[in-house]
Amino acid sequence: MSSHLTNAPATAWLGFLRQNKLSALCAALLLAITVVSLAAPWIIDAQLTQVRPRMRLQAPSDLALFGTDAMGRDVFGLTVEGAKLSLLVGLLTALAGGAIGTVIGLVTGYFRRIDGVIMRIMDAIMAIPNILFAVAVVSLLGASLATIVAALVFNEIPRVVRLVRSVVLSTREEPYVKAAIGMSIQTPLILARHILPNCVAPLIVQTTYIFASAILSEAILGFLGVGFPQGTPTWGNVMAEGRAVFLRAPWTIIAPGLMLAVTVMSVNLLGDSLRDRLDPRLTRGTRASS
Amino acid sequence: MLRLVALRILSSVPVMFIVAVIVFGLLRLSPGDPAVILAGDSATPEAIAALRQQLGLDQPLPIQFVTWLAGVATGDFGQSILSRMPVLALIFDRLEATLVLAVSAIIITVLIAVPLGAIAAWRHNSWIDRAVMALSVAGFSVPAFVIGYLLMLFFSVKWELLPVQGYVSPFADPGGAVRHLILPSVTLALVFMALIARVTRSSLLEVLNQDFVRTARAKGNSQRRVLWRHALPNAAVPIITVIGIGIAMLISGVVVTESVFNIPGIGRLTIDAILARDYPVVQGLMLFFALIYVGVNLLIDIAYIIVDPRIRY
Amino acid sequence: MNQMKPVLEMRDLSVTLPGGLDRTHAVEDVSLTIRRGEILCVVGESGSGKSVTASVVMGLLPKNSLRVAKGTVMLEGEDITSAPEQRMDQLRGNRMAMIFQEPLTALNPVMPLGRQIAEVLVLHKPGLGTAAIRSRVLELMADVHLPAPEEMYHRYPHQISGGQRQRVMIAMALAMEPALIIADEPTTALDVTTQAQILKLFRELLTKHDSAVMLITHDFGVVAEIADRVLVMRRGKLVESGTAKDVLQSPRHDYTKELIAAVPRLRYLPQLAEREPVLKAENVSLTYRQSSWLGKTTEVHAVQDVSFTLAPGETLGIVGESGSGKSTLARMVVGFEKPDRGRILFEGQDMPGLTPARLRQMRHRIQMIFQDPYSSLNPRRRVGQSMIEGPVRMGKSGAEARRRACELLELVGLQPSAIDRFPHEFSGGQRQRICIARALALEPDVIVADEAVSALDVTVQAQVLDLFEKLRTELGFAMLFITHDLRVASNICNRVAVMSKGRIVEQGELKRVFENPENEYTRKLLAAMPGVSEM
Repeated sequence: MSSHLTNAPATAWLGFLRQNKLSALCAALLLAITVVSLAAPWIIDAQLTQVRPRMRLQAPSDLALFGTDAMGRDVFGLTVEGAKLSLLVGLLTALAGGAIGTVIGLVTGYFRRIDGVIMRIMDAIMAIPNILFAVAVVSLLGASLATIVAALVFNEIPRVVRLVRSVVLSTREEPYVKAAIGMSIQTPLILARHILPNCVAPLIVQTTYIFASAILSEAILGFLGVGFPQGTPTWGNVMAEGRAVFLRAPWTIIAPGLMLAVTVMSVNLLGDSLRDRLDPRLTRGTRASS
Repeated sequence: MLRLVALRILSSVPVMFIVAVIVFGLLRLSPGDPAVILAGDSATPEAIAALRQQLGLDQPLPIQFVTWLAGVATGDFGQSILSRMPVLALIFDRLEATLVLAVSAIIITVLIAVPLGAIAAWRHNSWIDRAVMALSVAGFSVPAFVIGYLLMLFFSVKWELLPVQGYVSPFADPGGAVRHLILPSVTLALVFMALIARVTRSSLLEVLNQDFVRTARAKGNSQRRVLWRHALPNAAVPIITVIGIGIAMLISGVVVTESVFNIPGIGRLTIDAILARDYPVVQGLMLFFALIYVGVNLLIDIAYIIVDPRIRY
Repeated sequence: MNQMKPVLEMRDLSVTLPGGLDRTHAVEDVSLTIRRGEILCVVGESGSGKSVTASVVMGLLPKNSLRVAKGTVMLEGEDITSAPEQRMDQLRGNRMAMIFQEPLTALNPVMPLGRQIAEVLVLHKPGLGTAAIRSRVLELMADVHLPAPEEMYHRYPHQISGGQRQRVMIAMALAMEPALIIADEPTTALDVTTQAQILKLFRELLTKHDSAVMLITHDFGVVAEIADRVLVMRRGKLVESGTAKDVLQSPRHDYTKELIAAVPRLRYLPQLAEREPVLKAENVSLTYRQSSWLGKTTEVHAVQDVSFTLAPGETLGIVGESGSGKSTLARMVVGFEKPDRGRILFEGQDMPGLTPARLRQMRHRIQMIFQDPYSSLNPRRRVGQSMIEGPVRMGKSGAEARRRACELLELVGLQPSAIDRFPHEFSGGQRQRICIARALALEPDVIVADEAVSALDVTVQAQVLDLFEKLRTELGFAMLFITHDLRVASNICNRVAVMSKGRIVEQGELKRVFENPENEYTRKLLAAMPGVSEM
């Protein structure tokens, strides 16, 4: 079942999107958001996101699609400019978390001796509330792309480790792995040829969830006032600056919030249909959360 | 049984120890000298040195760690640098609001999410199933603070049905407490509900495919009776597990929700302490939250034994 | 007794399959009748439509994939083909009951056994009081010979043995004294001695309760043991029907003949001349210690003091029931487990005592073939990749290994072109052939086959056994053949060792052990072989 997608080239993925209207829509949305965020300097007039005292707190209109904030800046312009960093945080966290977690998971699942220690460490990391840990790291080490991503990755690792480890534990009992051991195949080859491929499908799904949850976490960090330095355009920061004027100008939070929600929802839905397709066993129970 | 529980408690000691190492290490390895920050810009080097000695910051790290851990083990989490209050007293001062909020969120979740998930599984692929799944994805995707502000905008500002912000103790004014609690606890519960509804649905779907469900049907059980009498008790273990994992989510949610609704709980305390670099308070709170997480999951492990006779340690 | 009125009457039943499969109907034009007090065996291999037929009667077809296209089903004169769910709920468990193959998964794991039986009464006799229900349940438990019913009442499925679980299922089925009991492979998951007991129970209870039984099986041994009438199905169609005696002794249809012929008959290969053994086990023991958190250590003596020798070119059968330790022994021989005591000598060297580096040079000369052909090959790798992996590791060039792999595929009866295909393109029997070829690619001196034909249909089983025999004479490897099936063992082994509770209770030349067993347990095992005497 799962071999169809993981082995087969791009045509299979295209076929998958064609059959799955909702996934295709999500993928298209994400693509559009990415393109727009990268093209922001050419799309958004730099003037719009400058401080413009006379334009303060304008409601959404033809002039300003999402209205303006307390400093007269165009919220739509800020949202588009902010997409880049938010998406980057999500992408980097998903890639780094997936990669590091996979290595630890493979090792701890296959070499049983160190399993106990590593899993206790993972339990400990899971016991520390994600957001608090991230807030603490970022505010203590200073907010930057590196610290934010590092803090979020640290939070996500245990779930990836648990996932990969469980696949390794069940796969290593498969007769074909036993057969390979019986043929004296070297351990790294066994891991690479016979065990890692089984992790790929659940990992793809899990990394999409991490991607979604990292974007949310960045927004929460920004909202709590410990995200990227003030003035850096990210979705979290735009919304954080709207807090003070929310009751008078709700669009300052709602508009970027909806953009973020649409993005995260697209990623989550894409992850869900991938999961249904790739790995029906995987449930949200192992999913990252913020 | 008692011995079993005792052993299970004992096994969480190493986990808590590692938590302590992480929490301690994180705060001590960060750049910037807390004594400098605390003493303020105009402090003399002598004043800073004195403060450092007073806080024990001049000792080598391992010694600091052991001293701190020994204190924690005896219930002494240290003193707040800012308010000079014992950390534990600070926490207990603010605990009520957070507990009331969290418990009402959990109650809302279990009462709504489990039946919703069960109905979705029972009517697999129907419009109800799709609606529940769509709501659950939405619950995962919209940040809690956006939802909180939206609820506030409509229920408090536009329709003036509920108070905007703040906290009223249920022990002082039960009616007012409920009115103040509705919006924050719904905000807090939403992500949790999304999670529980999904897991209820998926684990029920899995159970409904098992052989014993067919046996139950062959005995003459109606579909409805099979769902409630046979399937749900068997799906209980994953649901309970996720409630345990969800506690971490709830704690993070508490921080955000308290911020939005201006509730003086330990979530707010944490953010304030982190921003003020009040080390002992931050350490104490992180340990405290981890302890709650580990404790809840301990209770859940014990619940397994009751729910599933196959699980015996 | 009214012998004339049939309990179940099925006319021209057809069930359609969803599109895109190799055939359009799961069941096509099947008619059958079962009368009171009668056992009808429905026989067929996997995919014959026998289980679907049973599901139609019970009204438990998976709704979204299978559909009754035509035909009628009458239960005690009532047309239930399209009866409303409510009516079916009243009939199920009451007038018709079903017993399933796998008693572990078929029972609710978190409900006490007594309550599971009681539920049938709660559902169908609403007026009955708690005490009356309880005493009826205890009576039923005694009827099916469950030990200590009072205590059993409060136990859970995982706490009792497979045979006991199947007794609980039978008690459940009998609770309302239904007119019809459908049993879907009720003994397939059980050990032979347990199977014999359960079949005996069927006969005994049938005469007592006067029900009709529709028993679904793939095993003509079971048919010979218990059937009054037989119905043979193949690919959804009825092939042959008649009294058990007629069908067994003078089958008319070719497929029936093939099925009966495929049932392994006892056949004795001669013992080979004494030769220097290639493999020798000396007083091997392995005890699993499980120390729980309570500090209490439970010991399982998986293998105790086992000794045997295996000469080149010889096949030694290790027979025993589940839990006898035969598979643990196999895993020790191939080095997946280390014995606590004793030695396993391969060409005079103690394998478990070797250094890892030395072991790596040796172990490929003992190859294992596993039970489940579906999980024995990595589904993501081509047959060729799986086959050349080992030889390349042993220093062969890729091209050389590939050439040899093609030869071996031909030798096991497959096209050499199979080398570039994926495992899922092959049937179970073909996959087992690939696994054999993969093992042979390493030119082993010893092959350990752990239940290697148990997962295959009987006709395929016979073919694979023939293949083993052919390869052994051609290539001359020695084989340790682990099986629970004495009939299979008799077709391939020169010598046999009987294991029970971790020990070899008897070993010797096949014919001697089978005809003059010295050990009590061996005698029991032989007596329990289904249908051997009748066929």
